[in-house]
Amino acid sequence: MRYRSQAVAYWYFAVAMVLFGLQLVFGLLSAAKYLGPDPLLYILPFDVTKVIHTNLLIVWVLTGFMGATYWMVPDESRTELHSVKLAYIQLGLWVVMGVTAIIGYLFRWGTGNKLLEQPLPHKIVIVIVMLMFLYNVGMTIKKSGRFTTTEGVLLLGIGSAAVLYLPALLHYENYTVSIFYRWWTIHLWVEGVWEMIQGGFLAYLLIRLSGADREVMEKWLYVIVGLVFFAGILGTAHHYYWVGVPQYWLPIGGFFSALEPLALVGMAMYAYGAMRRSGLAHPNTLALHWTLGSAVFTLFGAGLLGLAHTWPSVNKWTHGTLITAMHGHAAFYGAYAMIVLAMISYALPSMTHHRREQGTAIGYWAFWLQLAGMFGMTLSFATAGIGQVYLERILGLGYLDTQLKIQVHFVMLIATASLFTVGVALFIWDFFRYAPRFEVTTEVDPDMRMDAPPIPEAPRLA
Amino acid sequence: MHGTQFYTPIKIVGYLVLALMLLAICWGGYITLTHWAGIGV
Repeated sequence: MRYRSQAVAYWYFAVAMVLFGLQLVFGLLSAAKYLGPDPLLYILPFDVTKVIHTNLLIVWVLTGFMGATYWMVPDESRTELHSVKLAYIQLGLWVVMGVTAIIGYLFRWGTGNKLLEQPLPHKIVIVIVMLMFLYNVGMTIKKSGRFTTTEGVLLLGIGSAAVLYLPALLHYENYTVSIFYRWWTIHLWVEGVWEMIQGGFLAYLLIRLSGADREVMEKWLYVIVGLVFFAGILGTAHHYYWVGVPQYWLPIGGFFSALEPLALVGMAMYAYGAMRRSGLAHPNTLALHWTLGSAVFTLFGAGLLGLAHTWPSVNKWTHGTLITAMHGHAAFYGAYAMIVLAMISYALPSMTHHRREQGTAIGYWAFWLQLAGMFGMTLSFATAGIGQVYLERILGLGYLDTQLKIQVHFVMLIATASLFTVGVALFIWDFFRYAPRFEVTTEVDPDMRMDAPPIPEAPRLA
Repeated sequence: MHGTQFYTPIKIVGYLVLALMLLAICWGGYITLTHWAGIGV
């Protein structure tokens, strides 16, 4: 840890870990219901457990993003955070918002707008928290005057994520209009600006873990951002196929969303190229596992599995089935969960006592068990989804009759989800078992190494 | 300022969540063994 205020990140990561664990509890409860009859039907029905499962995912990943940003920005801008106090107030507000939202869902307090179920007061708190966060990060960069491309991309992603939350505040009686604007938040987050956040963290980690030149890495980052914008924005239309909007959205959605994997191919090539060209320049090989794993699993889950059902003539059979769950689980885990876990694995050795820099044995078990578990879960959803599409959409069997026929795949889902949960439990245990230390050390900035190439003069901010 | 006094409370919360995760795995196993009607219903 080179700056004392980076310690803020530890508490964000700790909260993220707790919420990640809870997310899996509600995920397993939801999966078990497919094997019903469900003994918890009148206490925790599927709609409640699923809402909590998906909302916890969004909240813990955003908490991880905030913590990782508070770790990365002082490092990149070579200064302390503008306000540590503000960062802790922000975390406090965020936790209160998250906990009350979850309790509210248990009592059916929500808007019913999928993934944006938060009641209006909670949404307002989310906006306030995002503004506090952006202000703190922006002022830190302004104070230092050093603004790297890596943090520029990260900041653009975070700022855009805040702006794109605004459509979620609006309420429409018309269901089609409501869905139309809902995707401005959800799609443009996960298939747009969040990819920039991932790209920013990926570049930061690769610059620090490999010996890659900052200048080369940051040029690639522009290419990735360009591809995200080019395909991701109009790719939103793949959510508009069957929601009651004009037919011209079909070819637009099909064409642009088919191009979306290009950015992800670029990201995987980028990570592979950096390691191949420059080799390892840091002892933390566990963080490297998570970093490269994120790039590759994103290509698999978001790129290939997204492409598998994005074309309109395929999607007319698969939309709203377990094929979507297949894509969603692998994509979100690879792109966002893994990059947060990579940032945590990178930052943790310098924030805790007695932790090995290259990662602990438990850390590696956590990595491989999670990977195996998530791969198995993806295959379970895929096989269940293919069966569902054939029986329900092609043969015309009823929904519940179909669910009975594909139950065996849910046995596989629960088995592999349990494996995944063990992997996550090991990560959480490994996180908490060493006490934090928060001592400033004199680590060498990769840009300041004797063998590092000269970097261009950083632009001065007004 | 950096609240190391909160380490123990949040660690306990973290371990409670680990216990809940174990319970959820057991719940999945219990439902599978007692409620699943078998292949080819």
